Amino acid sequence: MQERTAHARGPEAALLDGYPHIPWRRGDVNLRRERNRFESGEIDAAALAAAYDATVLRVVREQEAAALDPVTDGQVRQDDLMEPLVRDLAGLEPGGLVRYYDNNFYYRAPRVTGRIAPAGMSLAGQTAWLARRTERRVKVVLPGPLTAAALVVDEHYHDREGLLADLSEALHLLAAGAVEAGAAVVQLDEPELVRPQGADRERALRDRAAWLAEAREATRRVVSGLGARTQLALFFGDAAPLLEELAEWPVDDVLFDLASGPSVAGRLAAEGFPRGVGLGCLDARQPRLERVEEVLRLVERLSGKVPVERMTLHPSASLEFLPADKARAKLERLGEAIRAVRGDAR
Amino acid sequence: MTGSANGGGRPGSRKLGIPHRTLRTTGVGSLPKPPALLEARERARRGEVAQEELRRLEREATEAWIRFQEAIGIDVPVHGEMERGDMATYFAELLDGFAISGPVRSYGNRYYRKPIVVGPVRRVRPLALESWREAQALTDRPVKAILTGPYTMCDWSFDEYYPDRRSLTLALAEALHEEALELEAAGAQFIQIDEPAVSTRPEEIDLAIEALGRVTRGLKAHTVSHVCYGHWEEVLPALLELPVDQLDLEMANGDYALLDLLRRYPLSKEIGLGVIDVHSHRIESVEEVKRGIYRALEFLPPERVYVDPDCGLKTRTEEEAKRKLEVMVRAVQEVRRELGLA
Repeated sequence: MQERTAHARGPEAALLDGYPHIPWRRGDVNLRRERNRFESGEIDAAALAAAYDATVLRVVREQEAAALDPVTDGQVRQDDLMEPLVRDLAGLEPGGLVRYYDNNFYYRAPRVTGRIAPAGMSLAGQTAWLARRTERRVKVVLPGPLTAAALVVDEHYHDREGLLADLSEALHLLAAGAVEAGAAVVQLDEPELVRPQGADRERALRDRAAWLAEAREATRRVVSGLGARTQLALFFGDAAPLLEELAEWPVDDVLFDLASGPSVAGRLAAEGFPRGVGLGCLDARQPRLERVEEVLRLVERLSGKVPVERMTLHPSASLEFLPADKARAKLERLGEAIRAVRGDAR
Repeated sequence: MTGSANGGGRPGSRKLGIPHRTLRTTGVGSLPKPPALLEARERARRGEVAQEELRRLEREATEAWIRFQEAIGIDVPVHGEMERGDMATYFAELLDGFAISGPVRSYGNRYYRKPIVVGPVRRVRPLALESWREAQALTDRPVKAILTGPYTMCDWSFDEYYPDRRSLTLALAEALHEEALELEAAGAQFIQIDEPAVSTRPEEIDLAIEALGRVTRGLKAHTVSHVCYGHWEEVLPALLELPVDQLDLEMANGDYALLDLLRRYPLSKEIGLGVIDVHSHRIESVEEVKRGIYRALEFLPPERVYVDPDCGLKTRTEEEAKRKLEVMVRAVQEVRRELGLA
């Protein structure tokens, strides 16, 4: 294994999770085309696997060039947030397509057809593969337990507590496997916490305190004893109403989507935050490119209450919601911004 | 929006007819493009195929699909959208006020070129009129005209011009209303306005209803709205207020669970019952499609049920799409026979 970059705290910048699977310039491997060629029998499984590897490496090199650390695989090897779970957990089977929150993007809602338990090691294998190919720290992203419970279709448990408990335990074991394989950061995506849907919205309205306590306890089960830095990523909604509770969340950092909840920045600037803070300051769902000065102003505004070395800059959500050239521009801008922030910090 | 859909309308000089009064079969929109057309579209993008040649191939493919639908007994055929790529991008390319971005993934390995609103949206040329007219000329059955709705057009575009989503959505509604009026004047008996995004944000359902109302206002044609892949519990029962005669919904994808939600509410509209999973290579059995239809008939009268696939079939191969449609029609025929329906 190559020597990792130091674990010293930021300021740092990272992708939140996803990045376009297709290249922004001609000449690079086009995963979309290779998948089509595989479907029509023009290439074999080995050639397709090589195309996936090449795409992950390209995405990682782009992050490295932009001074991002930790790096992710851009979620290139999965079609949606839930696929790694379906791949590695018994009790889950791929189901129908469902819209992913308020996006024109769709995931296969896993059907829970039996008791959920770890059954595969593909996430650990992919993490080890990536850790051998970069000197940067590797971040692994999984759905948080609340979001995972919301996105599956339960045909087995019919018992919220049991489902959440087994999901949390399974997520913990997946994350632990990834950490053992070389992941330095484990991020849990929890859009459900800031944009609750259906049953969660009802629970949140009925007994907000109990709903939050249940989610916090589920997070604790996932991250407990992981031996890696842990992050909670909140996007597609406004986290401002939850700031008080989030201050007590059992993770090292909380990452905020400032495009969906711009008032969070003002609250953080006024009140501070006792954990690491992720500033999702580049809008991942609009192509307009933010200026470095805007990011610097934001960092400066918060720096009175939140130490700069505890800040992480990131896009507000997955950059897959943008065309490849626009996503690439945001990635580069993120790099310019973090370099400027570090320059200021010194 | 109060069309009778009795099949008695007259576009041009020909009388159009729908063969059945119950469990009418129809399509949702797209059908697979033949390989020659796909290749020609690719080459046309590179300037290697003339537009006239591309149009000829589109017409040829449209005619083949119309003949196939007639042959297997589809009551209300669709033209198959041989000239369209993505359902939002196609209209954005024809409307004033849009630019088109590079491809963005929507699921799996499917991508669309996302429109960007860069100026005031205006209809400066027909959008769906010509392709509908050409298809209708090929058959005595009423061909459904299909538009992408204003809320979905807004939701699936980046907006760099309008101050808010409401302004953009209502501007799109006016443009689409003009098109709908021209389609009706040309003889379209069925006008479908697709609103798959309507289930996206429960807090904006009133805007979606208002905008669709602006599109359908004053129309006498039979109006349909296709909605799919949403969190239904979030938008019901408000969804039932969409100002159209028929709601066309995907059912097979969710194993008909949506029916259990729908039956909780009083339904006055027709329901388009999606019985074919368009994202699966597997060909449904006649028996499973029949089971779905019977589940719907537990609380819906057969004259208010239209049977169709969950969504457009363009992602399937021609062979798969044909076999799926044949299964669908056979299942309907068997149910009609078993229940003694006309």
